[in-house]
Amino acid sequence: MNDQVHHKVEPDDALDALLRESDQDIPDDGFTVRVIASLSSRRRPWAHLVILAAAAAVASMLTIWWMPPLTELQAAVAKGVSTGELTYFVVPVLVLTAFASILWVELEILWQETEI
Amino acid sequence: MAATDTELVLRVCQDGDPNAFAELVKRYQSPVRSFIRKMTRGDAHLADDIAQDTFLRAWQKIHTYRQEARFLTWLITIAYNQFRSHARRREETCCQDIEETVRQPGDSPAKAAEDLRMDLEEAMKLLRDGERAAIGLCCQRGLTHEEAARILNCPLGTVKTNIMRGREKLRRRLRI
Repeated sequence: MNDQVHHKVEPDDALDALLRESDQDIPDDGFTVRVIASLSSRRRPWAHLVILAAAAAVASMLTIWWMPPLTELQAAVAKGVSTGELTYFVVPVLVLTAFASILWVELEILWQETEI
Repeated sequence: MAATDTELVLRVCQDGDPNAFAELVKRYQSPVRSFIRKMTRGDAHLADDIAQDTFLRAWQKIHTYRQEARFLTWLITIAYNQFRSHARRREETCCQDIEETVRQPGDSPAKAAEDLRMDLEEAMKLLRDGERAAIGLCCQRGLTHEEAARILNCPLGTVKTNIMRGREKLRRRLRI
């Protein structure tokens, strides 16, 4: 805390005085009432998280249900690498994209919990 | 005797007391709105929308307030994040430099003082976001450099540099 005092900006000239003068208080004018009124109409934050988590869970299940067996994916990648044919990578890339999207949603949920 | 910030925060966290939160909003609406108005270059409507989002966010996240910083510092951190996310959405980040225009001398002292204040507002709008934020927080609001660095999520040196550059630009523009 003492360290902070050392770095406190000290007014030293006309510019500082002008800057301080120009920072005038803003009257409330119903702002507080509007904020408090919007608290009750705002959906609860956990509801948003539950929706996101449920969507991520459903997407995970569908991806796992519809994705081809892992051995097929490995074989497709191996064929693609050996022949240089890009079409072999289409399915593995789609599966990867689906998992990346689900991961992104889950990270978003975590981020929303921690970020201010 | 008025309740302290800590007591009000506790009442909000433990009981979800909207009256306690209303007291906090009433206490800090002015500095928060003033800071966001500077960041939005004087757009009062936009600033109030962002300020409202800031307090809603604070209501939702108040349990994460650890009292390591002043409540105002915590609020302005949220306000700055809200402003940045809004600016990102609207791609409104400021990259303008100050134009080399100067005041005309010869007016009466009272008019000159008023003109100077208006010139300052205009000159502030032309600063870069980081400079405007650092000057608004430290030179106008009286926060420490450390508090500003925490709010703006940047190194202490960057805050000092932004203040120095911003002040130099303002001096050059205002000729004071």
